[in-house]
Amino acid sequence: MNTMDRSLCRTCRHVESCSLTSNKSFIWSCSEYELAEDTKTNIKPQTLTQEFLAATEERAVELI
Amino acid sequence: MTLTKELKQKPQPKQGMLENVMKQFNAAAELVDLNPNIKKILEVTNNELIIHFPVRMDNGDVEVFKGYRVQHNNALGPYKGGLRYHPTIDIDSVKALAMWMTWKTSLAGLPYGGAKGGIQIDPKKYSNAELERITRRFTYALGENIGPEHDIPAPDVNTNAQTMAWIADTYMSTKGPSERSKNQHVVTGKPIGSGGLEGRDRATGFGVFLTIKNWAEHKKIDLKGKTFIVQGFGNVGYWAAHFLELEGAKMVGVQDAFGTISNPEGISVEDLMDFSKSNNGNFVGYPKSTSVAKEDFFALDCDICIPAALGNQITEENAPQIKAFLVAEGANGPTTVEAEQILLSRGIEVIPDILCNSGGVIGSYFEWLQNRNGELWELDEILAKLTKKMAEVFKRVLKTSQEKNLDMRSAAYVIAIERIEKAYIQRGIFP
Repeated sequence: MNTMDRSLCRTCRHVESCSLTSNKSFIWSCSEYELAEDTKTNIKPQTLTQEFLAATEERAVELI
Repeated sequence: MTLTKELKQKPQPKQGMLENVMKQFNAAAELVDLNPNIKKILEVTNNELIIHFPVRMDNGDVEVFKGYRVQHNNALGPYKGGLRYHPTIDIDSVKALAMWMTWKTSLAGLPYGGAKGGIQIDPKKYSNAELERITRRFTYALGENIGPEHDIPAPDVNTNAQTMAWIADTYMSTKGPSERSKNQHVVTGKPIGSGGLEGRDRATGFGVFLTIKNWAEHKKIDLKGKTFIVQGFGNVGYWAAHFLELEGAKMVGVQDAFGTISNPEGISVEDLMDFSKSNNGNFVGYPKSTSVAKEDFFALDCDICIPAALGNQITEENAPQIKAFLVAEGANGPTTVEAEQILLSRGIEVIPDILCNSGGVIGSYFEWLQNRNGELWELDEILAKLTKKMAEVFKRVLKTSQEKNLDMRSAAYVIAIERIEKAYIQRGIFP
């Protein structure tokens, strides 16, 4: 399990270079948190539309 | 039979934050010998809302978002807690944060319960206009599940005064014209021009300073000339350092996301802030200091240590190296359970987070009161009220700690839980 899945650090601009901590698992509160200008983790927002589209794409692949 | 056993042994998903908060609650419940029936109520949340709502994007497409609002307990008053916008938000994390808010508001002696919520979203992927529509549509979807006398959201991660202004405006717009202005206090943390509180930015940091001052007065220690280090130079760390410096204390070390610096002769808080502002928020390279390895920060020579950034920073590895006589927890959960035992056994006192950083939620209460009473408070009046309130809470924790022979954290939890228990005992359970 990727512990960053539960961490604020995932979208923080300091994620690569943060000098506060090297353990970025389960960080749920941080006064230094700043939203990254461009998130490098390439995570798409988890919206239902996208979940549905992803599932549809999967089904299409299966059908092929 | 074997199959049943195997099924029962299926590993449970890791809950992290919720597990930690439940552990703290169970330990505190044992300490206060909490009535088992009331424990049953407090270990679950009152309401958990998961809302799916559609919003039209700038390109014409419609996206459906997932929003949460968890209301843990309202025995003491309306639910109170922040709204965060983040892709990692899920029901368990929101439940944990809501429960944490219940203890915090109870300890602070506020007429509030605890709640938390947010939207599962990465805000950077949306335009400002989209974020406004998402916020307004979420507010509309929440409907009467929030309200100035029912559940009062506030800013949290990736939400700010602007977000609160949108929520207030949307909520007020759903009311009849004569009712609108009566509903301004549906959220706190609003911009100053829209019912927000003067000095809300410094309330948490000022509160951290006040608990240190109250502690020092109790110990008959003069803060003048005392040295301190602070982790985090944001709203909490900066303002705590600012007020400590005004009191005559000397900052000798500071760490933020960019780096760690120290100077045993002292670092001027205001000079450092000016330098940082002119350097894109980065204070590394400040001329009157030397750079320190990040793992050596907590070992710096000082009298007071203020972890004011994030959790799990003082651990069993670095706790034996701490030289301060006081740790003031400006952040949430900066000291691990094992580390606290080490600190206490070494005679180092810890002002717990739930007390130390409660200036923020007290500031929110003042904003709510100000709106509710149709008043506008001046900054000096607000700081005086905060000083009085923080002193009262500190004295309560100290008294319980002395009477029950407990450390300050346990004493704080005892007060928070006993206050809710008392309300249930007085009112009984309907029907």
